[in-house]
Amino acid sequence: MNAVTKDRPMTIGLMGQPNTGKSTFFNALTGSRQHVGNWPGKTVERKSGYALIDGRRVSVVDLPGTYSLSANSDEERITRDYICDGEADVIVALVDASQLERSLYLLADFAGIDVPVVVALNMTDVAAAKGITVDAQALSERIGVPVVSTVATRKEGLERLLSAAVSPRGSAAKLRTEELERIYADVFGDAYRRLLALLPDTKEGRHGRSWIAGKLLEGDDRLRERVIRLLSADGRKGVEAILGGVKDGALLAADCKFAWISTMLSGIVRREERGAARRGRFDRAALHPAFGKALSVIAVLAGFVLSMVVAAPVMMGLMVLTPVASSAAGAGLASLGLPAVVVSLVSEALIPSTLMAGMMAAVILGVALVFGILEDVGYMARVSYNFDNLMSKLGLHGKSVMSFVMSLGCNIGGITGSRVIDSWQQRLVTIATSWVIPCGGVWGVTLLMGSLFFGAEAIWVLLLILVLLIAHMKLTSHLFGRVFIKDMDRTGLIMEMPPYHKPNWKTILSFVWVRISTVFTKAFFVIVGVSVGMWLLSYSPSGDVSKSVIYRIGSVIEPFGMLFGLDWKLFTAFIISAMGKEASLGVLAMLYGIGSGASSFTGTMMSSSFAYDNAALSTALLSSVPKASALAFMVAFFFNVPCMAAIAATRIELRSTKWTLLIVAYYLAVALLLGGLAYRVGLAVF
Amino acid sequence: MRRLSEARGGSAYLIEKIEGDTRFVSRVTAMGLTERSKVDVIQNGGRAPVLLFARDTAVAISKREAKNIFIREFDL
Repeated sequence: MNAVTKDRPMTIGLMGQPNTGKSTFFNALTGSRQHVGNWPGKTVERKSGYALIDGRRVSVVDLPGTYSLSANSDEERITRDYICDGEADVIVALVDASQLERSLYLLADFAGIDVPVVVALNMTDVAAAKGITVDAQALSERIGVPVVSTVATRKEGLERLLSAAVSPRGSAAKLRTEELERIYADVFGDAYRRLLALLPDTKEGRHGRSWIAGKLLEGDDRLRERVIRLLSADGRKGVEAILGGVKDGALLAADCKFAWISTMLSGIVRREERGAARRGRFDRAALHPAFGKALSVIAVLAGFVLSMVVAAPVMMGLMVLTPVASSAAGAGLASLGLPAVVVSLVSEALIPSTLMAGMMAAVILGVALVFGILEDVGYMARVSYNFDNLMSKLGLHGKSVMSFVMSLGCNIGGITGSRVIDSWQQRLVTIATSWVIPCGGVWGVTLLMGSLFFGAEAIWVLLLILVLLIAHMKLTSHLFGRVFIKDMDRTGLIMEMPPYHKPNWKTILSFVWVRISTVFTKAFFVIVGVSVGMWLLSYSPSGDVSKSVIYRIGSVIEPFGMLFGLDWKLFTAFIISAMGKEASLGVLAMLYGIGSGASSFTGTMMSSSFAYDNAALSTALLSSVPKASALAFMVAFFFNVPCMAAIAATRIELRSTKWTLLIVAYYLAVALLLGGLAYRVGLAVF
Repeated sequence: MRRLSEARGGSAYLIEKIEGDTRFVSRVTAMGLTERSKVDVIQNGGRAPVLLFARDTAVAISKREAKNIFIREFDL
């Protein structure tokens, strides 16, 4: 065991199954003294923080929630490795007092590992409501380690638990395993005893021999490989021979663990006979074969609206502030005699984009708050259930439907909402697929251009786009799924349906609070960065676009754009629309020489000093753009990257710039290809 | 023997056999479904996942996974 010195604080590893109130517990222990990152080399989130007990700092690491300690998922491997090789001085095992039999399975899988453990018997309030009482003292004597009753939502028992963990008794407490070993010997017979004899005396990390033997009999290949390397040739042969003769090892091992649990629990749990009011009325509706789905969609949309309401004050404020601030800054800087370039940079790029980053952060936080509540309450599991079948057609899990529905309102909502999806890989595939879903801004421009160029026939164009939309979603989800989701992880739904419980406001709010500064900073850098870049490319003092850098680039690569039917103006407008869709008309106006008041594209998009006449724009477009090109542009525009806020939100959710850029490149390429396809079709038809 | 994917909502069953690779067995047993344990099926309609109680926990299992679990009616 690591020596606890004055310089190195004691470290506690918090282990528990999902839905045992672990995040509430962790937050209650560490408050705002938290740090969020990734487990090294993995995509699983790692939370760590500090708790205070008797004036001492204790480091707490939140281990991923897992149902057992097998080697089947990243979460389990991380937890297992951390416990055995890592820095934890003591493990706090969180169990759910109201579902004790299943909840102890993780502890049963831990038994035999040579690390001190203290049990937190959480959710005793929920247990009491169900008429269940647990004799913590008796349980503690049975299993040989301290057992402390807690109600994390009310912060009850936490001090006693921490004291137990850091006390001399707690920091030496090892789980009693004689009973478990006896059961294994009983069930596996000779194989277990012979296996134990062959295993080396030196411990593999802190694994005990009986734990290793149990895991090997279970069929844990990863452990087998590690152990085999430590054995002599004879030992290796012996082990392989024993394991080869074991049938249904995993099933038998599970039986052993549950047998141990029921032995440990006998006489310890008292249950009042209550009429099993197992499922509330709401749940019958929430899970109803017909209504359930509709209710889920309504709930998601309502949640989205509510997120907007939460974000509204900030957004309103910033929307009002932006034109005021940018023109005030512009006037102020000009009056100071600063060159027009600087005035333009500040008033057209820096100020509007900073305020836009603020608006975006507000939306993200609104969504994180509302959907954090839905997740905490337990409703998300119902959504998973309702849409499992439909989403599996895209190779995704039920919860992904939520991102798709939200994206109809705003892609940022869909992207941020994806954080309720459990695995990072699933989240990435979902986000990548959700980008294609058109938000309000896309429809505005699409319908306008459609009616302008095609009149009544625009309906056919829209139908074409709809068909392409569905094909795009299928292609994208399967392509990204193939790359990111290994076949191994592609197992069907086996999910716990937790009972509803009251949302824990402290947990949810602290979760949001911890993220505010990170979200704003990241959003800031992407949005301001992209805006300034765009400004640099499109700046021209007179507002005449043919003097800007982007004109020079655009005309040079015009032949490339023409492959897809887009001349340099349309191609430029297409590229810029990746920044934002609603303002694309303004950009087009500037490109076609209509309108005045801005000296860069960012000026047309973000400040309000730019003005143009819609009729003039329509005339200009109709006279210079052939129908086939208009079709190409409409399609390419529709399927392009949603907006730079979406890019920023994606980067925040995925915690990776690399993959975000991959998705951007993918969308640009596919949008161009589809536009080119539409162009060929248009040439043939018109 | 019946498969869990064909179970009737509102009925109680005993799990007789669980087939499948180690990964599947680990996941399913960790959820509380083991051979000779009792499950109360809540609902099992259309193409939706099977919803059941196993060891006092509500669990949802997709039809595809549930095919690997064999059950028989539970007589008291």
